[in-house]
Amino acid sequence: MKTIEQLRSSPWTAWLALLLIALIVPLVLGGYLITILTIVCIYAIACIGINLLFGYTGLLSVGHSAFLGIGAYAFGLIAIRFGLGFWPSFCASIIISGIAGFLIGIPALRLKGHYFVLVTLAFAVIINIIMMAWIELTGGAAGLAGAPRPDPIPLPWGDVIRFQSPLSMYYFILFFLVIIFVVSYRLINSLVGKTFIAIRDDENLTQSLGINTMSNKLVSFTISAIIAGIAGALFASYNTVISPDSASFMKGVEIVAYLIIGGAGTLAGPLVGPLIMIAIPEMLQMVPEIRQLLFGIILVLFIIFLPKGIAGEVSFLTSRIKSQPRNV
Amino acid sequence: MASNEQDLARPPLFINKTVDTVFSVIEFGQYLINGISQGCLYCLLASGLTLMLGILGVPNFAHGNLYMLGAYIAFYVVAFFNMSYWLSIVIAAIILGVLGLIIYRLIFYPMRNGPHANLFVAAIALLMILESAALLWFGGETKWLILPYSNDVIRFGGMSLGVQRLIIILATLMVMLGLELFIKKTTVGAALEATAQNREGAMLCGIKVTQIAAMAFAIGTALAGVAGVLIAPAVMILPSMGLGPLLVAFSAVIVGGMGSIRGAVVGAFILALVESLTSGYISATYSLVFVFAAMILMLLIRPSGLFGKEL
Amino acid sequence: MVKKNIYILVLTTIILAILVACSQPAQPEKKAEIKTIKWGVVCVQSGPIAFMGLGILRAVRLATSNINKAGTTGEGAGLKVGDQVYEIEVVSYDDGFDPAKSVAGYRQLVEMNGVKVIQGPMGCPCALAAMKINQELGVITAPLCASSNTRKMGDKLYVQERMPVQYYALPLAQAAWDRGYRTICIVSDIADSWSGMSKEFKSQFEKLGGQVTALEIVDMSKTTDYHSIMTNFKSKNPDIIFIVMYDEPIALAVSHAFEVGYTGKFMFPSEMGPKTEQKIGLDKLAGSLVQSHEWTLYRKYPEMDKKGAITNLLKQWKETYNETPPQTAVPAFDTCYMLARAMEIAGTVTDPYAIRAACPQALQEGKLPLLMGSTDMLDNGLPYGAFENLCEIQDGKYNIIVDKLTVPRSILE
Repeated sequence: MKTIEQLRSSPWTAWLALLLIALIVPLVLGGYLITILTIVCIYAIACIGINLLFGYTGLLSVGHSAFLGIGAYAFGLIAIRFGLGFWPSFCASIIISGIAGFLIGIPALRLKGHYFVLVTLAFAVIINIIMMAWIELTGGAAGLAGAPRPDPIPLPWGDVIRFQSPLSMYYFILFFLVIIFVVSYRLINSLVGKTFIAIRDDENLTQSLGINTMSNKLVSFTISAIIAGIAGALFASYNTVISPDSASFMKGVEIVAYLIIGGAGTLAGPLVGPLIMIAIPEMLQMVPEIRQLLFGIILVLFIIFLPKGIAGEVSFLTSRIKSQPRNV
Repeated sequence: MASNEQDLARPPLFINKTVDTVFSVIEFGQYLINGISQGCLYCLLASGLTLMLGILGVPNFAHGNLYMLGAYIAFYVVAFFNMSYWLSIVIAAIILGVLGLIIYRLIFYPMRNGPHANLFVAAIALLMILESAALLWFGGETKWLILPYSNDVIRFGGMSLGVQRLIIILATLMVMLGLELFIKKTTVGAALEATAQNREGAMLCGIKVTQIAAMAFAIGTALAGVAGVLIAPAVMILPSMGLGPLLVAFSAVIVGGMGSIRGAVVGAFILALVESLTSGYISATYSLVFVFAAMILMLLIRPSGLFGKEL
Repeated sequence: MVKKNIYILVLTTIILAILVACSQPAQPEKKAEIKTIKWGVVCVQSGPIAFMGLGILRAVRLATSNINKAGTTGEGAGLKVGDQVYEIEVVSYDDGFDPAKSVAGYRQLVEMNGVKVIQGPMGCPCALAAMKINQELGVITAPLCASSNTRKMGDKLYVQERMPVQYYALPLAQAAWDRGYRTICIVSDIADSWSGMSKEFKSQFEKLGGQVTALEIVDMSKTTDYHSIMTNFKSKNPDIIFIVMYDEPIALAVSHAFEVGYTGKFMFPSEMGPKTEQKIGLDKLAGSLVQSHEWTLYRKYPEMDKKGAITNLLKQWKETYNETPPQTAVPAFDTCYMLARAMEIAGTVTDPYAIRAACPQALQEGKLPLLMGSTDMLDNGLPYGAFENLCEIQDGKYNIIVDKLTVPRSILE
């Protein structure tokens, strides 16, 4: 995107230009493409969360599908079973995702490297099984219908925005994407963010400087869990159904894959990754049977030849992009 | 239809059965046997995984699909080419070993100096490629490998064991013994073990670490293939058959300790027994939850696993 | 450095441009010679359950090609509305079992292909998501979701594919009781239809005075080991083990039951079929009960298949795809024929409400080569009339012991 090129000269105009494109282009697109872009936005939100945890704090979690699911189910269950409206359920789901992130993070973050990755995986699978099996609560494999769309917003000139059309939901989700993007941007550029980066680059050194790495990692983990929970809740609202497959462990894997393709540890990464990785299968709709095969091959090629991700390869100006030492 | 609202008030209804008042030794023994025979599968997968993880640092998520390929090879060798089932073990080991070398050379070797997480993404991509390729070539219909003695059952003292299961147990024993001999008694094996324990030290000793790494990968994939052949007559053969056992195998690797084959074996059987006993006595729906809870527990108490190096 | 940036920029722009270009609708058809109508299918075509989704797609492809060759009722090629003869072209979308993609698929098929009928998606969450927008898009939806929730949504452009199996729980429980069975252990899949069926069966059977000493619900697509479940069941010494799943997992579960030493009888739903027969053999299942419908019986005893629809389909499927069709194919095939015939009766290929209104008559006529033999459609979209029998396996054969397990129409409406 031209934004990545202009990022060098003037970040803000670049991002604003991108925002303008995102706002205006969908007005001329059909419902199908708007739906696809909405899905891209939701994944982008989740990827920003993972980016914070992995790109900037160096902790790879393949189990964030657990928080996608917790966010979606908390939102859906509170709305459907207790009959609360969109906003109370949404806020409740954010709080619950945060608590879940905190509770899971405490034991999980005592581990490092492969062990950490695998324990996040274990949690994700456990939560997925519970979602499927506790039929009385979650509706099991069939899921539950009736997750609400946002409440209608009355406009000053008498009309009402009901969030039923693809365009209105797109703008709603884009709104959240922008907020979360800005929040993550501020976080990364703050002292806390710089501490995260220090932990990513060399945890022992950071610790030797007297910084409590555990509490910083926990903060990062919790925030990423909250962001994933928001993505999950938005997804549930968009679909109006909650289903255990939306929180399957492969989803968690997908988010990480999209982020890495886009470029972990960059600002544009979580946006570029889902765009490219969701747009390509859509174009390949024409050959459904070999679509998955081509997708895997494309992924492998990307990962071998563009290992820093798209945005990462491009934006080498920032010292935030570092490869970690390897021993394969 | 039952009212969902009432059910919601109760905790998960996973104990949906009458509880026996008499503890039956025979039943318990049967669970042990079930656990042991299932554990063989996890054992073969976990040993391969631990080699890859310990030496290469590659968490090979595609391992389950390599096992799936082994099962398909067995099916086609027997059903299509009408050759002996035992031959298919050798064929599968060779094909998958070679495939492992190719995969290593093409995918993981070029990435060895890159960021660690990329290896994981590559493994996921490989998983997708293998599964969709299998779906395309073999079709999604479940295949059954039926051998003449597939349905025979040995009974002793109230407990039973399928003949196929007994074969799996014996074959696994032989394979693991072979592996142990290879590692302990041959130079190559010693080099493998050295690299697993201390990569830099091994390099200092003049061990060609890259070649050893490639070999470790090939052995791992060959083990997966053998596992596939052995288990094929006892399960449904489908492109998606690999993911479930893979997750348990990863847990076994953690419980046993990364890089330690002994640990992988012990871990595999422990987890298989956990799965079997919880499935029988508590609930089959949640048995995997217990398996993963066991892994998490091990990670919290002793992250290096039972036999791994102290972290 | 600059080159790389430009490369990325150009690449991304090209991708976006192609994406927008692909979204352009197909050329508007010339009014004078409308010859092709597009028929939509949204289903999962990748991932672990691809086989089931592909079953729907393939069934629709076979059905439409049959219609194109010989018409809906065998009276000449094509779909005939008034003087115009149409050829049906199938367009499909892979939703990967993701409700959001199912919605995207519906939009794409309607916007880019102008379909008036979409079969699929498969799976209740996907179906419910799609049903939120199908009326707005003006397209008839025929998802594969064996749940009662879909009928309650008040969707006027909805048809269900078959009667949800849980309604058969009552007649089955009664039949089991009548045969003298008093204690039963049940293992069931976690899907809504199966677990609903098994829970309903449990409550009905217990109302009759029987005992269900164990009910295990597992995910049949992920379970490879039924030994422990069967050991547990065996220790409770039931009269019968009821396995509520698809054919393949049934075969696996039965083989594991035998491996742990269970020597008793089983009960199976109508999904039990060729795989179990192949793997286990009917001679080992003497005395077991099987719920069966035409698909089960005619498949095995083609001489019973007077209309020949099932035998023909099996033959065609084998020739075209070299496999046997999955369970999902059967209702999809029937629904396709029904909707095509409804178009002919209603006299339109563009008015979805008229087409939907003509569906009951399409079934009532009884002229379609249906696999499941439905004879009517209720107002809420449920096809009615396909009957199920209860068979007992003796001497390697299915013997019908209860003809036509019936579900009263009143509870379905």
